[in-house]
This record gives sequence, C-alpha cells and structure tokens, in this order.
Amino acid sequence: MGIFDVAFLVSAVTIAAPILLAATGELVSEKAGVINVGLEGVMLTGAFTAYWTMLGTGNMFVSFLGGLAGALLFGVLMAVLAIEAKVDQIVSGIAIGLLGYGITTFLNSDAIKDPKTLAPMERHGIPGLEHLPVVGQALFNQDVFIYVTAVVVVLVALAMTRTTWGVNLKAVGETPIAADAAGVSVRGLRWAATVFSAGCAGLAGAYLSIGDVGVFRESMTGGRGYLALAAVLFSRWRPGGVGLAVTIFAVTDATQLRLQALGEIPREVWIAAALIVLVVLALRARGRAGIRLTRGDAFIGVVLIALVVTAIAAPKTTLPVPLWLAMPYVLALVALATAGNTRNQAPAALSIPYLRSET
Amino acid sequence: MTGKDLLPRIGAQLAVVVGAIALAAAMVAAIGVSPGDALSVFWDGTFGRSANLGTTLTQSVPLLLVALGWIVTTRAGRLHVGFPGQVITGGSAATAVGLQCGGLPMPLAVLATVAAGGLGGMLWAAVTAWLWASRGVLEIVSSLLLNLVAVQVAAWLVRGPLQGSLDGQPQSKTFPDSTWWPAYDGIPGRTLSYDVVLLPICAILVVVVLSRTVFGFRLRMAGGNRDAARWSGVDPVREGVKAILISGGLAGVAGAALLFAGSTPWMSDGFEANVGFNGIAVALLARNSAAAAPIAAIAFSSLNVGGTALQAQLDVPSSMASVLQGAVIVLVLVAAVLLQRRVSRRAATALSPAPESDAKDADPAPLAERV
Repeated sequence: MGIFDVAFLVSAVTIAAPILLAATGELVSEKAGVINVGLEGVMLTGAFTAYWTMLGTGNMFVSFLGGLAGALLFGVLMAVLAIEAKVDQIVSGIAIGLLGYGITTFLNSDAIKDPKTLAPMERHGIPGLEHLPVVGQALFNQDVFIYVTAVVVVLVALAMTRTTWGVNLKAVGETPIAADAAGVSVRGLRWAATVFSAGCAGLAGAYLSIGDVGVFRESMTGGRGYLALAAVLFSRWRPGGVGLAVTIFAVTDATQLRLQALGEIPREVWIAAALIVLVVLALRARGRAGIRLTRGDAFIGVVLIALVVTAIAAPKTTLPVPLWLAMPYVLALVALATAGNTRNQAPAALSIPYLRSET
Repeated sequence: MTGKDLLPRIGAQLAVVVGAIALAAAMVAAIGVSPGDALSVFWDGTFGRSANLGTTLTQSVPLLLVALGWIVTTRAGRLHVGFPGQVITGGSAATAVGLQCGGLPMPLAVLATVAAGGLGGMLWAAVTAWLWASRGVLEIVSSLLLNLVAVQVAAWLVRGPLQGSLDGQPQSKTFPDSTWWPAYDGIPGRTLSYDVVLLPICAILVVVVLSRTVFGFRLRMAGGNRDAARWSGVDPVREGVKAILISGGLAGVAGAALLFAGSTPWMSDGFEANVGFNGIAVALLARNSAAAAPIAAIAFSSLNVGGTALQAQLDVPSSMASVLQGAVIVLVLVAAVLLQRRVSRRAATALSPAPESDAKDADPAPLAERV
C-alpha cells in the first residue's frame, strides 16, 4: 500500500488523540463563553508535570494525575482571571501561554537533572475487534489513553446535545443573563467548563510527553494547542465538526511525517490529494441548483488541475523539511478560510465576562 | 484621567514591578543563588556599564515597535497575536533585500532594509486581515497559526534560498557594511545603535496620530461603539484591517531592527527571540498607553539583557525572563482590576455615576461582536 498503510493510520490516530481531547475540552469551555488562547501553555504544563512525576514515581497512572494537577493550576488561574476578576480573556490567555512556556522551560533546565527516555505506553487490543482488516490495528489495538479519549469525547458530545447540563452550558455561553434568571449558575458552569478544559489539555500534554514521545523537551507541544483552538473554530462549535477538523489535521501531520522520511513525494500522494479536492468540490456543489460556479469553486478547480498535472508530470518533487512541518498549520488556515464565516456562529457571549447587576 | 487617579495608577505600576522583583528573587533563591548577587549582576549587565546600557536601549526598540502595533490594533478593537510571525517575515524580507544592497550608499541601503521589513511584516499581517475581514476567521486564531508557519518559513529560508555561510550553517550571508544601521562610536562594539531615537519619535507619533488626527479618530471609533461608528460612516471592518496592517508594518520594522541593529551581522532562524510576544507584554505593562510604552520597553529589554548576564555569570536559566514576562501580564491584569474596583467603590460612596473605565480589560465586546 505504499505510504498509506496500517502504520500510517496508527500514527494518525496517535497524533489525533491528544489534539482531539484538548479541542473537546476547549469546545466545552467556549460553549460556556470562556476562550483559553493559552491552551498551548496548559498542554505544555501537563506534559512537563507528567514527565516530572514519572521520573519521581515511575507510575504511569500517577504521572497522568501529575499532568492533570499541573494543568488544573492553570485552569484555576484562568478561571480566577476570566470569571472572578473579569479581565480580558484573550490577554489572560496570552499570559497563560507565556507562563506555561516559561515555567516549564525554567523547571526543565533546573529541576530535571538526569532525563530518561521512557518506553511508549503499552497497547492493549480489544478482543474480537483488533483483527478487523485495516481499522482493527489502528483503532482497536491502542493504548489506554486513546480509548479514554474516545469515551470522553463521545460522552461530552452526548452530554452537550442530550442533557440539561448541555442546554444550560449553551445558555451560559449564549445569553448568560437569561440563564442566570432561570436559576442556572453562570459562575459555577463557567468555572466547571474552564477547569474541565484545562484538565483535558493537561492530560493531552501528559500523553505527548510520557505516553508517546517518552521525554519532555522545551515547547514539545509544537503548536498542537493552537491546532485544537483552530479545530473548535472550524467546527463552528459542534462536537462532530471538532472530530472532522482533528482528523484532517492529524492525517496531514501523519502524511507530512511520512513524506519527510521518504524524501520525495510518490505519485499516489498527488492522486490522493486530487481525490480529496474533488470530494470538497462535490460537497460544495451539493444542494446547489444548476451548475453555478463561484470564485471559490474556480479556485478549488485550479488547485485540482494543478495536482493532477503534478501527479502526471513531476511526481517525484521534494520539499524542504521545514515546509513539511508547516503543512498542518497551513492546512488549518485553509480549512478555516473555506469553512465560511465562523464569526457569526460563535457563542454570543464568548469572551464576555458576566456582570451580575446586583452587588 | 484625572490627577486624583494618577497616584494610585503609578502606585499600582510600582506594585507590579515590586511583585515581579519578589518573584524573581524567589526563583533565583530556589535554585540556590543569592538574590543579592543576582541583583548586582543584573544591574551590571543592564544599566551599570555603558556597553550594556547601549545593548539594553537598542534591544528595547523592537519591543516598543511591537507594543505600539498592539496599542494601535486594540484601539481599533482588534486583538491579534501575529507579532512573532510578522517580526520573522519582516526580518526575512529585510535580509533578502539587505543582502542585495551592498552597492548602495549607506542611507539608501538602511532605508531599503527598513522599507523591506515593514512591507514583509505588513504582507504577513495582510493574511490575518484578509481572513478576518472577508472569511470571518477570528484574527486571534489565524495569527497564532501564521506564527507557526512563519517559524518554519524562516527555518527554510536560512537553510535554502538565504543560506550563505560556507560551512552549511543555517544562517544567511554576512550583511554588507552599508546596510548596518548606524551606531554610536563612543561605545565600542556597536552596542548603542542610533535607532534608539525611534523610542521617543514613534511613541509621540502614535500618540499624536491616535488622538489628534481624523485617521486616529476613525480608528478609535471603530474600536469603541461599532454601531455608532457605522451610523457615522466609519466602516469598522476597514479600520480594523488598517490597524492590523499598521501593526504588521511596525512588527516588520522591528524584525529589521533586530537584525540590522543587532549584534550578529547575519540572519539565523532564532533571531525573533520572543520579541513578538514580549512586545504585547510591554504594551500591557504600559496599560496600552503609547506614551508610557518606551519606559516599559526599556524595562522589558533589561529583563532579557539581564537574564543573559545572569545565565553567563551565575548559571541562572535564561528562561526565567519568560516566566517573569508572563507573570508581569498577570500582575498587571490583577492590579488593573483592583484599581478599578477601588475607583468604582469610591465613586459609589460619593453617589456619583460610576466612572467610565478606560481600561480595555473591561471591554464588554464579545469576540463575535468585535467585527
């Protein structure tokens, strides 16, 4: 199968899981009206404290708790700043991002005397399902974190759409004043959502350091926190959209890693890219009366033709490594640009502190 | 701002500084270095010697330029954090142009690097502005992603098209002599570059433009009440785009300043050195006042320069500066809130209407509404 084999799927799932968990947490918190731009810093903190705990205790479970605890400190800080002190959430998010980077780098160079590389987490197959063709190995023979992530994401999606809690959460993010009048605790829900979001980001970071890479490095999250933020935006604040966005980013990242190793781009990549563009074009045309072409369609068409021509004429193109590394972010930007106007679909009270009129 | 408010404001700023120094002392003590030693090394490394003073002043210029960019965009009601990316692209563009300017006389070559830097930063900001204005993408998220892309583009440039050293190091060729920004000869080692004159000039320029020109008025209107702006014929989207482009231009010039008034006469991929984010912290420390920004910029620059001295002499990790910069933002935010509560309590007891808060911390405009 060349580059798109089972190992490719496994690596895509491993890349997707932490971003998905962080993005799900962020989705909950943004639904409640609190945006945490410092997600990257929170993830980094989780990664560091988990690794630190791991060196101290050697126990995987305790280390995940350590990562959770470190991130929760930042969650509480964010909640105090955004909900209690009612400062600008973007600015406090920037502060949390800087603090997370600074503190982890500082402690990493000072507290960790002899870093050890750990073995990645053990995989456990799910009997019966793990032998399914193709998806069996990728989805049902994974480590515990990925199963837990899947469960958490499904539970959150269900809770958001099917429970009173989900309705209240949405009310708090859309019209906090009405929610308050109806007896919903705006403060309580926002606190819970902010802290939950930080916890998810912390566990995601912990997975990166102790579950996947096996060591902590300075700014090792490498923009995954930002990708999670972008995924929430792209999803237009819907759980399904978050899943789709994270899948796109993870597949790009996995492809990028694979191509970087191969050095040159085989023809099948161009064909796969062309097929994806074709699907996008088809999706855009669906439900539209007649063959009316917009400027966007024309642009996508040009991209499609360029891909096909490249596949035929110059399949063995090489790209420098840094440009490969930039690919997931470029794709995230393209995804955001083509997602249509997300501005109008944001929770109406996103980033507005709730001021109760009584004192 | 009334005279009565001025004193508690300055007091709050001093409290922030004292808090940051206390935190620094605690961190230094935690890793087993005497805070007294650290302070004397810090002073020596930042203001105590003329060469170090020159470095501190020169390095405050890029910080100020970024801070002014942040101030302009927040006045227009926009918040973007694309400064690191714009500094990088501005610096890269200035390098690309500067390397071709060997034959030009000095003033022209210097101007060419400034212009290229500004243009490079502006082009990068234009992507954010376009995504926001015509595609409705929150500028904060697109600018964060663009920063990550810019980092990789710079890494590619110094390994590919701009790579110039013979032993294959990831850095550009040495800049031609004529492109170096002029420096004061009285201090050896080109540490005090004449671009420090930009500190007062740019600060005053931004103050005047924002408060005394039609352009500044329209910009502030767009950042104030959107509906009122629209009804009086000011398009908040257009003003927002202008503000983002201006801030990108300023950040791009900051990138050029980092390279051509810096200590290394070539571009390497780490030249941005967190100036983009620290510039935001500078603006916040100055409480978004362009007039106060130069002082805040010098204070922040001393953190960086002093941090390097601390690392060289006492083995204190230089990342301490990043911790302090983050902590300063938090302290500033908290101080602003406490100050505001105090003022409004006083107003409440005097039975007068609550004073209008001028801090953007109280900005009630939601993200979705900040169109």
